[in-house]
Amino acid sequence: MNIDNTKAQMRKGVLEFCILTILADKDKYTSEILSSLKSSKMLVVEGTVYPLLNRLKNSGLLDYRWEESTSGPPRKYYKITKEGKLFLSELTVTWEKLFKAVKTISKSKYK
Amino acid sequence: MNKTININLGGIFFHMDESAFNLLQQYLEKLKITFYNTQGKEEIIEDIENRIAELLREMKKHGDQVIVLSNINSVIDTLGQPEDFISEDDDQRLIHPEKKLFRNPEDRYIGGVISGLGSYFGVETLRMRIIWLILAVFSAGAPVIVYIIMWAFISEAKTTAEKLQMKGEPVNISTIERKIKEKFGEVSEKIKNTDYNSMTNTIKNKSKTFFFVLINFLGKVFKLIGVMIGILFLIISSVLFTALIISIFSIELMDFYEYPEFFANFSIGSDAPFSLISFLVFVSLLIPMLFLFLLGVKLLRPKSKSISMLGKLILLGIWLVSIFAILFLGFAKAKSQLFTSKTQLEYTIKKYSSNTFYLKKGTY
Repeated sequence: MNIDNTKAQMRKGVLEFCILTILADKDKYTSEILSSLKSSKMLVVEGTVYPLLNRLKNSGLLDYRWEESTSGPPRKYYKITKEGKLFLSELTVTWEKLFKAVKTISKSKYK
Repeated sequence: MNKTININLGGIFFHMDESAFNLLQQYLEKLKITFYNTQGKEEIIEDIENRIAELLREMKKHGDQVIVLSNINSVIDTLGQPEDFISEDDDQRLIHPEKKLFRNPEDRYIGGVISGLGSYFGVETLRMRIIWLILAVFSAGAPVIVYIIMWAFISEAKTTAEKLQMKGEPVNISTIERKIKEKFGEVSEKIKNTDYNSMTNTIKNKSKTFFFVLINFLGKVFKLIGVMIGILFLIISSVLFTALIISIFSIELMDFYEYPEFFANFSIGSDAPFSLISFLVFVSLLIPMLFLFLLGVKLLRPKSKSISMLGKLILLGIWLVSIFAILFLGFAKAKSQLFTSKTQLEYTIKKYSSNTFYLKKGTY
């Protein structure tokens, strides 16, 4: 078993959930999404996000629009859709359950 | 010192060092392969390109600053290698062993159609070319048209992925990487070679040899045909010239002639003196012979000097004059010989008892 691979897999699973969470209250453009993911150490390489964003967009959970920027080329702003919100709330529940479960297991283990 | 390349990335203009450009191109190529079968690959690549442009723009504070290798390296570090984007199970779908027909831009004389076909059918390119050539020669050139049509309809293998597909190799990161490394190894080898220009020239020459041998061969064949025709012209013209000289001498000096009757009629019956007519005939035959001779010489030695344009025109004029003179004399003679005739037949018809006459067609 390759430890890096396992780590990447774990992170990837949670990544979609994180992106949806970031976009839950505010529309953001790609670089903003990247920097919030990076500042929370959720992301190692930026490249991972692009296929993910594309997939989320194609399955209708996200939508985007182009917006002019004063400092550079137009930016792609992502926005969560209604469907995306539903998806997110379900994921949140699952995540909380999972988190609790993992915590319980590790607590019982270290007791 | 390094060459710089101007590029447009995500709508922004960049000056880029050549090595930086190569690295970036290699990286983008790898990305294209990585997302080869992914839905929305164009968009993903475009987004990444935009991001690269954004990152480079942040690095480059002054407008004139050139992007160097280290800039690209740090961009790649930020974005990560394509291998990191995709997990192992994702990688499975990258395998794409289906062969496709492409034109091969790396091995071609004209459009790369034949070598593409060769790769497709697994036949060695040289063999394919020979087969094609034989077909073209023996079927009056139909394959040439087929070639042009195929050239128009088969797309060229441009990306590394397409080149791999052309050869039926699986398209995945490892094969792509191998291919790209091969290419870069080739390039760096060439650059290392001190005599860079002559090196590329010999490579080019080598790759074109087949075509040039063919052209050369055809050229030689045509030259040979030209020489043969030239020799033929010389022989014909000199034989005719000799015959003409002999005849004019025998006619003029020795009064020895036994020419066809019509010529005899023509000359004897005419008002013009006999020597004039024989002279005109001599000139009108001599001049075309002279031209035939000159043409023969020209075919044998294309660079040899011929008589001047003025000389040719004068000869042509003399020839036309003599022809017209002969024609004039001929018509004059014909006119003098002209006569009209009338035939009248008379029959007496006896009286018959019946009222009806029957006329029977017969010969007189």
